[in-house]
Amino acid sequence: MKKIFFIVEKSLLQHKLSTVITILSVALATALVMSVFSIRDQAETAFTGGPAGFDAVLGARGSQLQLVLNTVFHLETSPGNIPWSEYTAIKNNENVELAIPYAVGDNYKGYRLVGTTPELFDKFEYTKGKTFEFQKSGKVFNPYLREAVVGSYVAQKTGLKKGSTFNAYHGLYFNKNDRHRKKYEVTGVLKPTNSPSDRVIWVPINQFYMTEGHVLRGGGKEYEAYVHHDPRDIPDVHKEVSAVMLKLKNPASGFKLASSINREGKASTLAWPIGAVLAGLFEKIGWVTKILTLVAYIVIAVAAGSILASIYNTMNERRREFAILRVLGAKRGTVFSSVVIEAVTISFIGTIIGFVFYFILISLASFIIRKQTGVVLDILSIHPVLIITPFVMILLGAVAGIIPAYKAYKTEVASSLSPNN
Amino acid sequence: MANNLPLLKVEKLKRTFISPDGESNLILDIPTFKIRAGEHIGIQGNSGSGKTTFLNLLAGILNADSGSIAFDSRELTLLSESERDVLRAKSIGYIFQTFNLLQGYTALENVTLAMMFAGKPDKKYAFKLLENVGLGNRMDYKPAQLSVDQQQRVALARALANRPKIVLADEPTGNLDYRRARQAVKLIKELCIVNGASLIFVSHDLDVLDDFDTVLDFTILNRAFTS
Ligand SMILES: Nc1ncnc2c1ncn2[C@@H]1O[C@H](COP(=O)(O)OP(=O)(O)OP(=O)(O)O)[C@@H](O)[C@H]1O
Ligand SMILES: [Mg+2]
Repeated sequence: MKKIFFIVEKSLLQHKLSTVITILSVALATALVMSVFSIRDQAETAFTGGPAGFDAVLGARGSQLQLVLNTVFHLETSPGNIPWSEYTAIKNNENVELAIPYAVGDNYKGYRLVGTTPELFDKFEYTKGKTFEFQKSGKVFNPYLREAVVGSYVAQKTGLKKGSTFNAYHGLYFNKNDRHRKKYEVTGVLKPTNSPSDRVIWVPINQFYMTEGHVLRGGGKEYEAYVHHDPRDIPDVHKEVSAVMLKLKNPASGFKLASSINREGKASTLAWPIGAVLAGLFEKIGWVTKILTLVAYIVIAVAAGSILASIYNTMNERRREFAILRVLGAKRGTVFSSVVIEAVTISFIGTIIGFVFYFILISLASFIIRKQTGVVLDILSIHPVLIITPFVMILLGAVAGIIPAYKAYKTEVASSLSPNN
Repeated sequence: MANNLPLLKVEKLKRTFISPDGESNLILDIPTFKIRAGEHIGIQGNSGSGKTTFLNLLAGILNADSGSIAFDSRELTLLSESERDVLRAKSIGYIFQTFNLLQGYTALENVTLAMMFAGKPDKKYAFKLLENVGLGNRMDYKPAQLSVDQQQRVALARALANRPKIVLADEPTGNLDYRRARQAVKLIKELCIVNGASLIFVSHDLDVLDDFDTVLDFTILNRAFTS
């Protein structure tokens, strides 16, 4: 065995350039395949399982997916508003454990202001057993004052900290001409949650009803906000919310609620269960994954082919070397194995380097996804593809080695040694 | 050190080749040939007279059509291929005319690799062999960095790597000038004596074989050779 590895090592070193190129092609192929499958599944898990914290979202009539993206991930636009009365009704529904209203429509430098109630900070668990925590001496906003709580990512990016004041801007996307006048004061910065909440500025929902330019249509007629100095003076009938985030008593409650709300003719939609709604998104983009999968398989096949080609190409020049080995007493089997093991070594080293490339790729993907959505991938989790791909690649390497190995096995010793050869 | 029992005994050895136009040509027909342990025999013969074919048959890298090759009390023609491989690794050193060496390996590695096929590599002994052929300071050179003469000396060291019972040398001096050829012959003979190895040394040039007590004319030895 030792002599075989010695022969393999020498041969790989003798054809350095083609060895390196082939190893790189194997590395890229394994990395690509592992990344395609791993990132897809990591993303799906992270989006559908992780960051919700809520069981359902009640919002305006429309797409459940849009509702979830808008409220859970703070992406996309809001499908519209629903009257305050819907919020109070669902809050008092026997199936509902926790109902927290959200209002959206303003931003600060592109980071969304979400109007809500202080319950979000003491009753809501963003993942099992964890409620929002403040950094240093931060505290919740007073629901009747123009105060704000800042997500960790926003704080990091904008420099907002406890005691800072800022102006909100109208709309979900930043435009410096749409500045609202009255300033918010920051009462605290949240600790990182590794969820989309890190990218949000939380303000009292009441302040949305007191911002100039906002129009309240909760009562059917238009009602100009900013006419009162104390939010408690605004009649509930005029108020509206963008969505109500719900924690339900049990799974059966979701079913009951959904069947009564998601009926023809109703003005609102219940997005439930949130995981299933998001899974629908992944189903919609399934064709992308299919194409990527196909590309991945092709790339693997090309890599295996490149192993075959790179070794096969050297077979003619190596005919004499094999003959010399045989004269020195190497058995046919030894010559055969040395070529197969050469191929396996190439795919083995390629696979190892592939892991390095894979971690670079998935870290990059994770970084981008986090930057865009706040969702964090668990890049260190072991996906089965991380075991299967190297295994398959090494197996394919061995198979690719068999053809040239057979040629080496068949080397005619005497005639290959002739000086004319 | 030479005794009277033959180390190698060839009888009625025949080999035909199919020519490119499909004709079957008897190339080799050796009624009898013997060499004792430790004996040195020079073989002279015209180009194309079948000398290389003969050595290839003795080394077991070519199969005979008929006849017998008894080597060290074993019948070579009855051994399986892999048994012959083992025998060759352990007992036969082969030096050929050109391109003897593995290009990717240093002088030292060429020698130690040969040792691997016979069992354990003995680096010290490999050093010693290379020193004996005057390449003590060229151990880590690759063939391309050595002169033809030096390459032949590495091939000699390699042929002796496993303390073979016989060394087959197929015109190892063919590419050397006369003076160097004579020196090479002396060195090969000397080292075969030190190692107690028999030597069959083939050359078409009779002058090179001056140092051999026994020189056979291959055109007579080989009955198949005409003209
Ligand atoms: N594989 C082969 N197929 C057909 N003919 C062959 C083959 N090998 C050798 N021959 C023929 O056998 C004859 C003897 O060849 P061989 O190489 O043994 O001669 P040689 O005495 O070693 O010659 P040289 O001195 O030139 O090395 C030549 O005529 C050659 O053409
Ligand atoms: Mg010859």
